[in-house]
Amino acid sequence: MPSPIQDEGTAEIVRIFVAENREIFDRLDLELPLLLCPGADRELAASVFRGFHTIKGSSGFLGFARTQILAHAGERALLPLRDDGGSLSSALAAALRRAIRTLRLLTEDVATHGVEAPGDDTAVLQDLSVAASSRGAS
Amino acid sequence: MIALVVDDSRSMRAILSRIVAGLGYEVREAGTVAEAEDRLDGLGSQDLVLVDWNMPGENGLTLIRRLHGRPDAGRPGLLMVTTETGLDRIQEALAAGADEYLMKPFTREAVAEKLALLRERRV
Repeated sequence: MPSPIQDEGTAEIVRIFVAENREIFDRLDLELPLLLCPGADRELAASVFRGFHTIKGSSGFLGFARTQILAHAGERALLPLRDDGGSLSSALAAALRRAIRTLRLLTEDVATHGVEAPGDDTAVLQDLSVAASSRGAS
Repeated sequence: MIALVVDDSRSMRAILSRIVAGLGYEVREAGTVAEAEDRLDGLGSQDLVLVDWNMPGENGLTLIRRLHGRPDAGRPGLLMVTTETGLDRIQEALAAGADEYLMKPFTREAVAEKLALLRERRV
């Protein structure tokens, strides 16, 4: 995939994207376990949702398709929790952690090479989809 | 012409700011609704506020409602910029006072088109 970095202005935006993503991943690592607690705060669910949402929006514009698709899947899996409340199932938490690990690797690819490495995220996406559809089971 | 870009994501602010600066706007940025309200001084009917919906604390819809409700006749144009793509969400934003609605991810061309539409309506 060609790098979207075609000039210094875009390169600066990509640097901001990488720095912001790293901050979001660190925040998600802290917040995700808290969502496993019964009666977890709705604002916490909204914050985790917003993390995936932010990454989806900026990666979409910059043309980082794997990141965009994974972030979108994470966001979609979290939507019921944001809108209806409740706690995170352990299966969904594990699927989200796996998605975050992949997203971190992709962001580091971008930081180092300016592009995402090619790869197949089918298994991660499938995990998210299955765990999200069986919400409530732990 | 001034464009105030309101988004909690630094990446999205940088992306949008670059686009609107390229379209001839002087750009201001805000990461929260409270910051946006501090940066509204001097904005008039030829200016724009581009607002993300999902932000921590007060959301973008709150800012749209507040700005739309101002008695000031020279209020800036209000553009909701968001990934909320459901028809009910679009209607909610327009009912709250947004003049236009731009879905993320967007292209430079889509932003230019929406801003041109807003300018035409506000002449």
